[in-house]
Amino acid sequence: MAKIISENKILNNKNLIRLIETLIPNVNDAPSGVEAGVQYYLVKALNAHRKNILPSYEVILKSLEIISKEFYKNTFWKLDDDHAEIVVSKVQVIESGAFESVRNLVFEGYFAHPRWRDGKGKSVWSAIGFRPILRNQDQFGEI
Amino acid sequence: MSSKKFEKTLETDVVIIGSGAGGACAAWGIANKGIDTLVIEKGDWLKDDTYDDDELHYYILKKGWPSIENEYSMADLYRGKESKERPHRMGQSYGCVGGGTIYYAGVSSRFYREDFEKYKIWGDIPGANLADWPKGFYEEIGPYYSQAEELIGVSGDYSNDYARFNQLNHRPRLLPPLPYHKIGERLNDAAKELGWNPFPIPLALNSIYNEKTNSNWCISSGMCSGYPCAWGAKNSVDQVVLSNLVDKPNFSILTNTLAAFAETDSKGNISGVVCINRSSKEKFFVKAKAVILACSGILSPLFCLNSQTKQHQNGLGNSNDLVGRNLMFHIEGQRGAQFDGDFGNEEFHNLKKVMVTDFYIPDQSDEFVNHMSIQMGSKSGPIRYVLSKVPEGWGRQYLKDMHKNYMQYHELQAMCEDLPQLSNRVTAADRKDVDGMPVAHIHHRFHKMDGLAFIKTMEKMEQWLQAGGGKMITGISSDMVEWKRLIDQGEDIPPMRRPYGYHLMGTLRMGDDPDRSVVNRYCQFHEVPNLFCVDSSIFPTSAGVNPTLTIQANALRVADKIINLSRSQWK
Repeated sequence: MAKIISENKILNNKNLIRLIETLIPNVNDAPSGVEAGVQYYLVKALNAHRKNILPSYEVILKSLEIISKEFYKNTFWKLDDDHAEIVVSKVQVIESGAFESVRNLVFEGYFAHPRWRDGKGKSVWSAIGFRPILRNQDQFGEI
Repeated sequence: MSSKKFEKTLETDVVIIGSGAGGACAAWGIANKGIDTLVIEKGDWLKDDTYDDDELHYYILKKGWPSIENEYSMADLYRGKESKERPHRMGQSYGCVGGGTIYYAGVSSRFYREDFEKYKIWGDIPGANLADWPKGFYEEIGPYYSQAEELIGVSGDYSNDYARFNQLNHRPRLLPPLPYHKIGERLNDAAKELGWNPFPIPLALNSIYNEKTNSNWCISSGMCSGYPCAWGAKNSVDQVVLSNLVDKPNFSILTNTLAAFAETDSKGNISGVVCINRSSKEKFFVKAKAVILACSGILSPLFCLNSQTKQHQNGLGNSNDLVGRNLMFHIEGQRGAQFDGDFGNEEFHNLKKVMVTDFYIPDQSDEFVNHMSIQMGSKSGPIRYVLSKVPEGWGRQYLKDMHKNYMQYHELQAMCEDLPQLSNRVTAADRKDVDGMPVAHIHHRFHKMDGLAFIKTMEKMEQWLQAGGGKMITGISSDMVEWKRLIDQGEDIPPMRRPYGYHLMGTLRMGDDPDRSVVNRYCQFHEVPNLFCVDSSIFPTSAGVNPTLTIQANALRVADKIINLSRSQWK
């Protein structure tokens, strides 16, 4: 079955990668959203159980670019951390409903079982003290 | 429709439809007496190597659960129309061997005497349809509670609770209670400071190694409610009951098979059940001397309504139009808080430890008659935590806070009685499910007293959390304002603003009077003597604690009655 949104379109979308990195930066030695492979989760989710979020996803990416160019005359992914945060905050206000959906999708992917992120980001859970019991513990080793 | 139309026909003594709490226990009681028993289950055995703590798979997406839209298609009716919003917040049914016991948290409370005498105590309540359970039911079910506790493997300690209620009805047979851990101790102490009487929640979880089932003791992973237990410590009926029956020559289970509807003979008795193999779509007939419904408070009445025969043109046992009525859910809700202190690595994701029933029976100042209890809740997995409205956010500071706060966050859960109402009901819709059978329509409105009782429960939860040092209390306090407004105006609460409730009860009411009930005190249909029901459809009232142990005890009780019947009538 053809994908609703292609893997390339997600994994190579620099604005999306920047958004994930802004929502979930590297903190306390925990992996960032991108390091944890949230983008791989988005490929799965937007083509299946979260396909209803696709319109919100597109609205947010479009808004990030518009606001970024309007305020900083630059494309979103090229902004430094502080400016990226400001742009995201503005989009959160302007597109609150769509932003909440995308924010939730990104965090859902970040805290999901590593299998949803192609096995990446195995230390996400230990950073918050979450220690699940896995039947196939060896599959992931230290999580 | 005649059985002669089917190429394949099976024959057995007893057919049980559904393999959850009631079906499995009825099968245990009947098959162990040598009677040919066939369980029909629309789902499959779950493969235990798929069990793990994948919160997204199990809890958020409910992938282990049946798809409501495609399989059960329960349509929640709101103001007479199908709601487009997901109805799963109001009731759930499961499609696998073991049913809801695979996914439940294991709470195995007994009902109290007052639960069985609701009408006797409170009388007529406008808008509600209160009833007593059959006279003497409390005494009769006592030994079966003990039997069920032993069969399933329930841990707990009722002494602090039952001493207060002074109603030790047949000695509990319990495994030692699970350890409280630090947060449980904190909340236990807080409840005592409030003058309450906390006690360990009775749980179908092993507190010690279970020799009978060769299964692990619970390690408090917290992944109970909504998950199959990855550690094997939850005593679901597939593990502790059905797996011990499958080798018996007189017992069999047909999985992935839908019991679509029944056929009756000229006297109106059931002659058998028309089934559909859900893979091949082949239809076949199962001839039986008796049929036991055990497929939930929604699907059991739906089976009756879908079984319209010459002798039962309004559906099985439905000449009084009571099949499907008095639907009750329970009113559940959570409140959580951040706690200071080091809970240590032992805490993991505290499961349900402590409960209180101090305001179980309403007092004079209450404007409601509902019973209620409060339990510690299973800890949220990280996704549910992060998707909750409070706290919300993103970025560096949010993540720092989450790293610090996640393990300090704990929840309480309310279990509040839903009063029976004639107008709350299950009906068969015109729309068909994937197997070609009419889906269930659900119509349910809360009684004004339900809302008032739930609001009090939410307030008590806040009181308890605060007494334990909880801060930043979360929950649905903003919704409570809206509920109060709607209740005062006599309005229904829109589906997605309602508190949720997964338990399904009341739709095949038990009683001695055939004009006011569907089944008699032995859960035998008044109008169809070889048809029984052993799920919570038969509950006349829903009580303020979880229903599973009562379903299991009652199923064992009914099994004994069917054994006696078989000896006298099936020779």
